[in-house]
Amino acid sequence: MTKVHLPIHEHSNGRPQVGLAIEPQETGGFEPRIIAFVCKWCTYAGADLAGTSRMTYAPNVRTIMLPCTGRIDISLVVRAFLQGSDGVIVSGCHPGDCHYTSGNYRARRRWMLLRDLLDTLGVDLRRLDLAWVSAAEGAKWVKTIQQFTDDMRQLGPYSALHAVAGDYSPDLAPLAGSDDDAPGVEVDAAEAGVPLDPALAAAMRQALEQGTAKAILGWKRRIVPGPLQPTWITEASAVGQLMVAVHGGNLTRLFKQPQVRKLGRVGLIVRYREALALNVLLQEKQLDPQQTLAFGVDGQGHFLGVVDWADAGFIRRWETSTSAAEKPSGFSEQTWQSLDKLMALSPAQRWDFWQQHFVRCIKCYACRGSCPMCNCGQCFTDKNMPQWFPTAADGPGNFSWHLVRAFHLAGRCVGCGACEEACPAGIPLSLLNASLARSAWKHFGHRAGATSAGVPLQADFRANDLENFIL
Amino acid sequence: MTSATINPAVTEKLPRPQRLWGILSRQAIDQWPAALLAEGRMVVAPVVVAAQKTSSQYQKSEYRLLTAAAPLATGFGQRLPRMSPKDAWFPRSEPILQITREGRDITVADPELKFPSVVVFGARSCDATAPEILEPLFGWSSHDVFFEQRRRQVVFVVLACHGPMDEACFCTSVGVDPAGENAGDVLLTPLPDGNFLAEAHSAAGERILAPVLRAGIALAADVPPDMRHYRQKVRGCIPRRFDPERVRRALEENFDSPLWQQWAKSCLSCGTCAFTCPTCHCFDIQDEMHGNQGLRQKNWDACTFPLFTLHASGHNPRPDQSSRWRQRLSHKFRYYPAKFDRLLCTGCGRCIRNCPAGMDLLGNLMELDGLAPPMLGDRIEPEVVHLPAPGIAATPPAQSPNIYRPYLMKIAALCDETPDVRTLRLEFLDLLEARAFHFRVGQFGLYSPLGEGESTFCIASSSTKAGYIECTFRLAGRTTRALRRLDVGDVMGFRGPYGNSFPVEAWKGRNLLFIAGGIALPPLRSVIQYCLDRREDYGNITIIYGAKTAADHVYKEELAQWEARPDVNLQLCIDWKPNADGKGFSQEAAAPGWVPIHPAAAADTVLDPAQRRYTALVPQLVEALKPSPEHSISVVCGPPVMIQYTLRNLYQLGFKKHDIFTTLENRMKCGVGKCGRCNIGDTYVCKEGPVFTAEQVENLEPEM
Repeated sequence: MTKVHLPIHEHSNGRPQVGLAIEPQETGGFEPRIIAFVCKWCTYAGADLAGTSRMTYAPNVRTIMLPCTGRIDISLVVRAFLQGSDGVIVSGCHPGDCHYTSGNYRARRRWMLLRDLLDTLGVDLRRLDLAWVSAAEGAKWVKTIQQFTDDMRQLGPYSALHAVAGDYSPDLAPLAGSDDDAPGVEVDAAEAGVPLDPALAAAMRQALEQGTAKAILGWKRRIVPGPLQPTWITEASAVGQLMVAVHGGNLTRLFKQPQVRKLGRVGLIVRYREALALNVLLQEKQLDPQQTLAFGVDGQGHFLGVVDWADAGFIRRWETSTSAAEKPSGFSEQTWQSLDKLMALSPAQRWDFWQQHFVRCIKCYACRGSCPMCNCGQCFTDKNMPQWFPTAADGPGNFSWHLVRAFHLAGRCVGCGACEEACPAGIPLSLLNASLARSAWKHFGHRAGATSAGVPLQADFRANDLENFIL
Repeated sequence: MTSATINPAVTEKLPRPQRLWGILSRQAIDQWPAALLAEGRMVVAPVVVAAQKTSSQYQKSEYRLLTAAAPLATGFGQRLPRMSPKDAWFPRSEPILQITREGRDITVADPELKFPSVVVFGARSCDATAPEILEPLFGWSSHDVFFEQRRRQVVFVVLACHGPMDEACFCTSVGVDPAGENAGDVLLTPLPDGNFLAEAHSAAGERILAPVLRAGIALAADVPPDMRHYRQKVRGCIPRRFDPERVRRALEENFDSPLWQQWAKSCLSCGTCAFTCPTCHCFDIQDEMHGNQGLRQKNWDACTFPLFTLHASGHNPRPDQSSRWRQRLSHKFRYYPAKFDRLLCTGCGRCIRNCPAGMDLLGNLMELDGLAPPMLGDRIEPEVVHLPAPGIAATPPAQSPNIYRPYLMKIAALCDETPDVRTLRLEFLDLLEARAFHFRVGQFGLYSPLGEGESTFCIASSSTKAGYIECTFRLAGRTTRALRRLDVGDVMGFRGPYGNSFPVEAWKGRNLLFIAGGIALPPLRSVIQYCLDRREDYGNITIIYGAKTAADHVYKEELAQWEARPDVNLQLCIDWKPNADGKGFSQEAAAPGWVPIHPAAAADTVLDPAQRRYTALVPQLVEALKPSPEHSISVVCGPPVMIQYTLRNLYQLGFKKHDIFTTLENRMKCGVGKCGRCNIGDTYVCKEGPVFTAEQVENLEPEM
């Protein structure tokens, strides 16, 4: 048996790289590799028309047919780039023409959000193209391909992303990351929590005694000083054990636990961040309002009263009485400022910024665990039939995890910051979340957690949604 | 084991009088990393990161690689870094195999086993003790060359603590010395005048300390100052919060305590505690392909993840957070000490500080300490149960020190047993490897479609069949799906044989009763084939095999051959047909020719000796057949509920627990006792199993 070594390329960062699947052809100049994900009914038929009409176009494109643009998951695009493609085209029916009536409208929203996220991550947006091509538009397909291929030829290989995609190196590389702008709220033991407001304690006791709540979610002190520990009690006599955390976490994430679901109707201490999260969970039908009894508290732990979910304006209670640390949007003022600072950089600088942070990721999934919205039965990263993304904490594994995690929270993240507080590697996750929250607001007027009524952002669409980025 | 002897230093330590020592100024310390970098070493040191709002007297720091441009260990003497420097000896992701595919040809190669020399500069004793603790684990019976080579290249320059960092520090409770008397390779102790006493603890430490002392930046002194009093005082500053021996006893006594439910309430099943821990070492093995080239990687994994122990069948021996939290504490304070005589903890407190859910490991340990049964002199040890002979040590292919390196095998034949169960016959590509390869029936291996991961199955063929091995598997996930894509002539990987085996020599002259359900016939098939090939050595052979339907029976051809043999009594059964309304089962034969045995009257049913096919559950068929326990060995394998009722019926028939064997199939990644997931209590199924007697199984923790 001969010993074969993988071609290891030395890149500028000095870390070994594994050769990529799709190597540019060496035919004189650089020939880009392009993947096109197209809808079966329009673009594929259009491409077919181009073929039967004997039109010629660049052979750099590998076309992958899917039933509908609405069915094209962002994972496909991310994986195409990670496997070595230099550009990706997504194409389907014109708005109004969808074979399934609305698949392309949903896709349009999704791509709007994805483009903004990729932009925040510093991905070169010129390498992702979207086009509406009908079955009759063979000529448009040819023109689109030619133009895109020429553009990619000009841009050259996408080495920045491919360097990350092939970065499997262990040798202490993660310790080379930078901590500039790392967030991380250091919670001082002394100010981690406050005792229950007496009025709050009385209301809780009453609820447990009268049976209006079977259990109450709150926090308790640990034996070792430090952050409070989320817990629940079922006896009125135990109310005294509970405390209110001033910082940190989001209590509603306990609803992900089967034991909590089994408790029946539960009361919980609701700060502004929990109120926002409850609204999203109710909007997404993850919770039955009849199953929840919310004891509202303000930023200092003062009892605001039991919240009536029927009153759509209940959330305003916090918006007038919220503490300085929790501005109305959920995200802190500091996060918005950091985001502005980040977006003022060039895409290449943003790319470097994120890679410096992602390299420290240890894939502990504390961000997922602490998030009330990360409530999929099985997370995409735990699926292995097929396994879209590497599970290792290396270049491709970390990039794809952070991209897809953030995207799955588009229009859902309330900015509570629990993920960022939980992250032991100090990755500024809130910036990614805030960037998507801003897109949702800017393009679609959607603010996660503002109301429990209506339809979730990505389940909804408007015929006149923005599409200025689509050919 | 007493708490005083826990975590002994195991590396080559120099006797005290011969140790190199000197006094270094702070300036000399600050210049030292640059000198180490100039020697071509990598230097990992705590570096102060963005100053944080904290009431602590220390600045927050993180371990970072120093560079020639930034050689200052700015976090030297500051707070314990949030992450441990574990990457230096156990990287979060490490290539263990290189895979190249060209058409149907596959080659594998070891990654280059050359690792950088790393100095961990300014580490505290808790971090410096960690790799020593892991040495026995990575070296027991087979050597993980990746860990061992990296570990050899790590040199610790330890900074002695002068008190706890915060309330989460508990090193003194687990026998780690905060004053660092034996920790690492060089110990720096701050002196009242701002200088540091530097002492080399090992030859490696001497090598790096000597140039610094010679460089003239050391301060002169004639005799080393006597630090005994100071060190005693430092140790006293960090109170002992619990007694590990009492905790160990309490973990034994409180396995089923409701406290675990209580304690694990807030756990959010992330891996923060394990990944920031300097001693947590469990890992996953995954393949990543990029077109025709790829890697097999060893990635950090954590027992708190639900997927960690999830079986392909969907069964999970640790189904909830409370059992996972119990595993984490028990592994550290009970199983690891039982196996390797040291605690899997250095008391650094990171899991307590970093837990986003405020899980209270130290509080739980203190509570366990209080729960420990009183010490009444020497405890009467339960009767020691002897396990079958330990497995053959992992034998990597010739010339490779890499225990994770598979043999390359060619698929010689394949056979679809049922729509989703397939058997592959594998032959060695390399004839020398084939000749050197031996296994015993009952052993298992890891099978890999190279580039798509590894899966653990038993070797389903007998060691009496020369020249090939067979495996039988059901489609369950990424790896088995990729295995199904392979065709005759394709090349795949195999690692093994691992684990112990059936004591077939000891069974000579006995009657044998094999009982299997569904996909559990493959593990028994190897031993059945063996006994049939040595037929004259054994008495009566009875095989009872059941599955949901006749179509679900595996090895149909072989079953027909066994049925035709006059010296084998084969009895087949299929499950009762469910009623049309989905409630209960019909009392009719599930298929023509399959005679029903009424469950309520199974024991009274008189069977027609000529009849070999029944509609019955396996335990009912056993009850009706009434095999004789006289001079008999039985081997039972199947789903947990089948095993439970079959065992009950066998006991009623008079079978002895030590004459009943089974083979356990827990989720495994490494197969050689390193990856940390197949254990039931302190028994590693991959090393001490997979073959156990019913008696041994009863003595295992109820976590199956």
